[in-house]
Amino acid sequence: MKNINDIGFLGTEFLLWLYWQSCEEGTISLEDQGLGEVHISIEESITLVSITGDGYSETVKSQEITELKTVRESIKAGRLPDSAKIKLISNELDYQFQIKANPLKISAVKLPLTGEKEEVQVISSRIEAVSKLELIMKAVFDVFLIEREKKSFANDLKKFLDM
Amino acid sequence: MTKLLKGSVSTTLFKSNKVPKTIGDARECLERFAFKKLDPADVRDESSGWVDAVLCFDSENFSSLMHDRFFVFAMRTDKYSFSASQLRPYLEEAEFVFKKENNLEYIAAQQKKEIKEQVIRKLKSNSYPRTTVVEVAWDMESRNVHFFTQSGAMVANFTDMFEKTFETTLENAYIFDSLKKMGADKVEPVFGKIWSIK
Repeated sequence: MKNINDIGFLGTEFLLWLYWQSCEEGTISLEDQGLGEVHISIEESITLVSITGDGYSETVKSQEITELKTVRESIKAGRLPDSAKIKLISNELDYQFQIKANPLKISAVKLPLTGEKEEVQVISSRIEAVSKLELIMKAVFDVFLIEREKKSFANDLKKFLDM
Repeated sequence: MTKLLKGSVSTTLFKSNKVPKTIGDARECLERFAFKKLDPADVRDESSGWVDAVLCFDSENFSSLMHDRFFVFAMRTDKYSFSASQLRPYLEEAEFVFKKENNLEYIAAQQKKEIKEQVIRKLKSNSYPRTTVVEVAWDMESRNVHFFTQSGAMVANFTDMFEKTFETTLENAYIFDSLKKMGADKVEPVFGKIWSIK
């Protein structure tokens, strides 16, 4: 396998794809992996970094990132997502976390509240939630890999960005 | 309070090549590498070892070890560290007193070193070490190990201690692990088709 640093572009592409999904329905089917459907949206903040060599970077903070034309214009200009805050809903459970493109990893995960009161149950449920989120994100990444292999991927992305 | 009960979490994911056969085996392994408190007179400045995930002062019973299919425990690290600026006033004072008492103009390098060690010992006896507790959840079915931090230094310390404790090896696991099956070398960026990259 390539070194973690050699596939950094995949992290950026993955975040760009998540932004794209987020701007559309945001629903991703993970039925094949037995994980049902998840809903993903970019919320609160996104950091865009230029890949064209001009050194530009900006962090946009807004409750409606996907509605902002400026974000899309920035992406068209070659400033691609480097990190973002994500909200993910799976089986009515609500996760929020930070995702970084290079190296690709998630952090600062706010786990869903499941209503348990006993300490032992809270621990079990939170560990289960961490474990589930890792499974979900791996599955979402697999869906992205399949999508990006399609011949139309680059053209569809250009169409979405109106380029 | 343990991150297992409250607050946001950041984890590093590993896969172990084997798991303990029984909870008794796991307990024995943990006890062998259990956390030992630092004594101010101790020559060591740092101590790391396993503790209970909920009661982080408990390094004997590990009473919260089993949670459904997970073994749950924590790595505790206590560390004494004093910055140069923290040491300076005490060191200057000790050197000043030493020169005066011994009617000296200069202090030999070896003597300076001893004075510094005495000062550090005194500071250690008057303070508590900095304590870090990081939780571990080990899935007995998937062999996945969740370590509740992404700090590089903590992760390196953890990997070493975990492998020694359970006589196993840990491999990092990533979101993009499925690339291995696909053949990562064949994956090329799509940016070039969309943006002209300099």
